[in-house]
Amino acid sequence: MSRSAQELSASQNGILLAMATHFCPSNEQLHFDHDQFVNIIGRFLREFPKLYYWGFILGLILFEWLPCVSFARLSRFTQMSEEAQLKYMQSWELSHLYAKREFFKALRGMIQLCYGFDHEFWKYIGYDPEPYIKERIALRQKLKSEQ
Amino acid sequence: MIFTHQTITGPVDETCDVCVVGSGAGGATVAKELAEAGLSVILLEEGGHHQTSDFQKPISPESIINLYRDAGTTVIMGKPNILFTEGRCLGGSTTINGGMSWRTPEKILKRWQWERDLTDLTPKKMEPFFKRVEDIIHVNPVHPVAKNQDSETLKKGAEILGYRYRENLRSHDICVGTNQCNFGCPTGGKQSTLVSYIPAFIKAGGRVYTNCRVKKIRFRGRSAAGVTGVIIDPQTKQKKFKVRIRSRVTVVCGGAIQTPSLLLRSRIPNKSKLLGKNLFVHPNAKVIGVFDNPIYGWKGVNQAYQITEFMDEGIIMGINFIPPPVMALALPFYGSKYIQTLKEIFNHCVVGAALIEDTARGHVVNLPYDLAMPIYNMNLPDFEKALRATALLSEVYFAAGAKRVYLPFAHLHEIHTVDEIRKIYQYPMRPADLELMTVHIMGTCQMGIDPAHAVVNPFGEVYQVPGLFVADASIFPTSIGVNPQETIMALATRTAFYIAENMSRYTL
Repeated sequence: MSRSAQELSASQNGILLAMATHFCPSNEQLHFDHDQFVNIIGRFLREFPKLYYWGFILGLILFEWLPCVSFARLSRFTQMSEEAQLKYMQSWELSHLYAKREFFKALRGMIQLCYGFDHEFWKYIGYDPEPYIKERIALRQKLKSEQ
Repeated sequence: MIFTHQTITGPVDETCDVCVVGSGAGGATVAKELAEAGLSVILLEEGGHHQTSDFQKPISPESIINLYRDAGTTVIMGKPNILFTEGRCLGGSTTINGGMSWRTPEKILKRWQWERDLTDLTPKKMEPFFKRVEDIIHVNPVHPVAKNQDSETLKKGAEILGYRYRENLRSHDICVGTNQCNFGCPTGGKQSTLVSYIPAFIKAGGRVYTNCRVKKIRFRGRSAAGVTGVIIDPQTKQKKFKVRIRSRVTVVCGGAIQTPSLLLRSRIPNKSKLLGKNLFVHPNAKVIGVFDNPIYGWKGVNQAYQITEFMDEGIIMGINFIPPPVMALALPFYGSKYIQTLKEIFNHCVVGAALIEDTARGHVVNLPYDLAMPIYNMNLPDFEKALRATALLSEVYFAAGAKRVYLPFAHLHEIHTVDEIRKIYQYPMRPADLELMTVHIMGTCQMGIDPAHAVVNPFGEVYQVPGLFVADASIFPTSIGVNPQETIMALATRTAFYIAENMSRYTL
């Protein structure tokens, strides 16, 4: 499989979006763009080495289907109620198994990283680098001309 | 001349005196010095060619995808897993680093002399190489206009506690503190090799091929005779054209993971069995201090100061503000707690890191599908040092007036007073509970005078492979405890001079 074919299926995107609503919930003042998230995470996935990509897909599949295997619940992650999803996610976050904790941390980091490019989010937290960068470029040109 | 995947229209088959693999601190230095010495030099870079004008917008996914290997998802596997980043672009990691430039500490050079018999690496003998590099990349203190409140806060805390600190020396030509170092300098102020050594290399007649992944070293008998590789389209990842470079000398400068990976892949003789071993990583513990007063950490340079009070213990501390996408990786929360915390603290926080001069050693292995995997487990002394470093940096923040400190521990996320620092020692913790990252990887092709205990000789030439040199951080015999860029460049300069003086030994 070439790296350009390293994409998520619709169901895999669905798993990530379901997690994303817990990791980065919108509120009255902040509406995350989920289409942009899907686009960004797809771009990052194309850069993954093949082994990382397959490990990521395997981890997602496990995450989605493990509740069915564990007998305590009969539904997949994406079929659970929001409250049940959150409890299930916390069980991965606090798992005794190092690999499970690390995979959860990696998923959280990736999803939050992708939403971190949202300019609405930047406005919400008070980050406005573009005018600052422009002002500094002009300042350096001025200082260089005075040298 | 710089060739890219767009301008290369067919297989590349070239002959030259010297082929250099990698355009970062080591590769660009060797290439420029040898081109100026009158040799024909070809420089191969796996990443793409991005220029100052490409960096003048705020961080975007492309900033990471275009400039970082594997879009910044590189990980050192072990307990704990350590996120590391390395540049994959013209200029290498110098395009994305903070530009700190420090000479190798004298205590390290002394160790290398005593423990490894590297008797030529005295401060006096290294002085001309350090000086040459410092002049070319304009090593000097941070410009006053670039200093910002988060660095001043660190300084304030250090002064209150009576801890020694120093103004950081950086390679810059009027850096005005856009705080975009890690995504390419938008002004050209930071003197990465992209704007310093590489233009000089091209002016001296050098040729650069970007988007070129080197696959193997070529041999003629026992000697290195160039490389083979492929030109790769960065968008589609398709292999476009084959590359074959025939050279009298080959210098590999891919960094301490890619360099041993290439040499292992090429099955070079490895009598010492040390190739790929001796991996040091300078683990960094990120600690965030939150203050009542506004601190716009994104307005101003990273690391105007470093706290050096504990340098003899192997700990230095500095500030490195990070933009929103990356901040997510430094905070342990999610959900509305994550959103509201970031809203509350983003313009009121100092994001600092404590760097550990590590003693643990890891190694690099080659996995299928061209993946080089570093493996490293933290040992007990380094773990205890990491706890101590976190405690010390927390103390500095509280001294400067912090109301809250976020810690890099899986089960202890925050403390609110200086008295609570003792929780760091009371809470049962193991190395796997640490959240660490690094940008300094070293040691995997260590140099030495004895081929039974080293991969390269004191000038970087690989034992048992005449004409093959290594000139990057992989030749460090030990961790060095400071930012490694200047050490890499000084040693690379020395290697280049050696090659130029001894060129008659190497034939095609």
